[in-house]
Amino acid sequence: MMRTKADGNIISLFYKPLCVLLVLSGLFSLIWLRSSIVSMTYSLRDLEEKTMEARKDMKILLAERSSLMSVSKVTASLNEPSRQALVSAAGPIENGYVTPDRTRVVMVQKNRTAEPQKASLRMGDKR
Amino acid sequence: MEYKAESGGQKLRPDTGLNRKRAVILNTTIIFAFIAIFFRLTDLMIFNHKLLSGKARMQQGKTEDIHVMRGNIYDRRGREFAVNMELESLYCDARDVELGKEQVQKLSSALGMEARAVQAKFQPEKRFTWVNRKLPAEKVQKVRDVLGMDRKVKDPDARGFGFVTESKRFYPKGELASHIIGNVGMDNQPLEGVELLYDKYLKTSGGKVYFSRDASGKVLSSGVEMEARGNDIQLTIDEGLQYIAEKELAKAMAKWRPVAATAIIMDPFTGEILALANRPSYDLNNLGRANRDDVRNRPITDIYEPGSTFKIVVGAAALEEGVFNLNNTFDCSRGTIEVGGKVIHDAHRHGLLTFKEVIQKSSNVGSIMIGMKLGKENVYKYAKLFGYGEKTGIDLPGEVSGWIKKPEKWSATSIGAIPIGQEVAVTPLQVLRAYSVIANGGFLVKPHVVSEIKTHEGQPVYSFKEPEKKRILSEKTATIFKDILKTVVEEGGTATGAAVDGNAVAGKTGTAQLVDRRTKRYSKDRFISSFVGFVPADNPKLAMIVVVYEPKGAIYGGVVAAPVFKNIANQTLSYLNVPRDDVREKNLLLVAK
Repeated sequence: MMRTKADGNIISLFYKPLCVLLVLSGLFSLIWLRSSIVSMTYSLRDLEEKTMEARKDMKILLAERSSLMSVSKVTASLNEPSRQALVSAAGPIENGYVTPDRTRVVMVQKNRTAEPQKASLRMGDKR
Repeated sequence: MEYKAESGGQKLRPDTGLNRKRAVILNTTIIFAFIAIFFRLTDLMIFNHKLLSGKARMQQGKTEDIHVMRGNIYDRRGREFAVNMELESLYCDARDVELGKEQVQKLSSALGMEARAVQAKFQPEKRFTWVNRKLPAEKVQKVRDVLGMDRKVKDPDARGFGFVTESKRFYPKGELASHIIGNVGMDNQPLEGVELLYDKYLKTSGGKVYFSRDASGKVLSSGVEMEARGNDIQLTIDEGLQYIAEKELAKAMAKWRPVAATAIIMDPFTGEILALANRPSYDLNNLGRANRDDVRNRPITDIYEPGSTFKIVVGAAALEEGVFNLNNTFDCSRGTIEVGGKVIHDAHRHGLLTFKEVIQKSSNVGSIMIGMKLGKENVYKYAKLFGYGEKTGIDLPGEVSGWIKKPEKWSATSIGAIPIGQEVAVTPLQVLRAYSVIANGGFLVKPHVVSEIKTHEGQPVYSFKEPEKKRILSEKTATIFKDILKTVVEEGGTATGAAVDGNAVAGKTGTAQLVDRRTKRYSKDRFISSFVGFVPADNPKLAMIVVVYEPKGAIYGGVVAAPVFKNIANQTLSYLNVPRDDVREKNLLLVAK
């Protein structure tokens, strides 16, 4: 079958705009990709700044927490009159520092085999 | 002939020479324009390339330092002793600063500084000057308000000023364990304590990160972690025990008004320092208020004559060498002994004393008799074996070795002085280590304060390796001597004030005279009182020394230092949940399979 001039014209009619369209869309997708990367980098930077700020606050709060939890601060807090009654119930207080009653320490020997440990007060012991 | 279409009509007009001329001019102009562009581009891209690319880099890029932070320091239970905070520091470029007097006044009050001091920072020849560093958040906000830094349109007052984030060391426990932790300077350079000795682990290097920025100056992400942190250190110190020791020392300071006081608690089997307390002390967050005396770490940097606590050297040596046994007796009825023309007294006349009683009653006369029979070579040998005259090797800076004279340098009176702890210089830590030998059955331990170093992610970097145990006394001698030291705290001993309710204590008092610098003789009113011991005596959980420097009102170790030992030991045993010795007989059962 012979190709006529009219057939060639029809192909070129679609082919050329398609090529132009492809080139343009390629160009636009490149620009879109590039701009997305840039905007993502901006977002990342914003997040990084927020992270740094949050970290900064976290460090200050952690430092404050460990300062408040120091034994000296806790002891000072226990010495407040409003807390004395509460603390007395927990155990003996020596200068505001709560210490366990050493007569009530239970010693348990280590079992060589992996079995539950047993401990009990002697029968008839009245405490 | 060529024809061209005329506008608006079908007629063609002939192509004249004028049109051709126009075409030539146009072509020439275009060619010249291109040549001009070519030359300009050559100039920009080749001849001025370096200069312009440098300018572009400056405009499009920004370099920032990675935030470098020291590692944290924790106690043995993971409680923070040293952490980091990030605070803002105010700097200025004095050439751009345009502040009036009133504004300087406002700025200085916001900073909490004198106006003169702030004004002095603005030296026109300096491009960068710190105005004030590591400011708390509330001060930063005040400064921002004064300078109008937060306004949308920047206030001209803010010109030349800026903030930089810096890492600041913070010590949450303040004064507690200050002599162990040490401190750092304004630029985080180590100055004292663990901070100084373990600096190579705590610090880290940061480096710089290059950021791109847009035309408005907004910085783009580099994707790099902007924080680098050194390794974390875990100490052998226990915050609770440290607090107990410091609290009791503070009470002793109030009661006896001494120049200073020291207490060390150590595990006698491992050499782990559980607490090391000093008075006077200082707040690590407020170094400006500390004076030279406050920062002295007396347990390792100050030497003193140990007095009677040294008597274990001659006592243990005599038993170990078989020179004496427990059945031997010593006539101390005169209460004095003359050595090399010098008369040495006992505190009281004792009469006939057994070997055990010589130690129990801390008889100088009896101890000298033992020393004389033992001989100076043996006394020296055992003093060295117990670790006197050399550093203990504790991992804290500034330790001194103390000294003991070699036998060939002893004078005629030395054999009457050294057995009772004179003519010898020791540190409290050396004495404690010597008593740990008795507590642990004859081994010399290495005291240390750092147990482990880990990366921030928890990877181990260093852990303390116990050196091979060095036996210096037989177990038999150590056990016998332990029983002797128990009698010191019992009725008839010199340290009944150290007895702990529920557990037997073994220990020894020491009352050492200080030398008067003016007369070069022993002072009659300046003493160092000490008590060193361990508890529970038969199964020691802790060894402890308490040294009180120049107490007022009383001088004897049994009166001044022993009660401090008792108070600390009582609370420490409770804290560590150590059962009473009589727990088995009283009410509790040991239940095993």
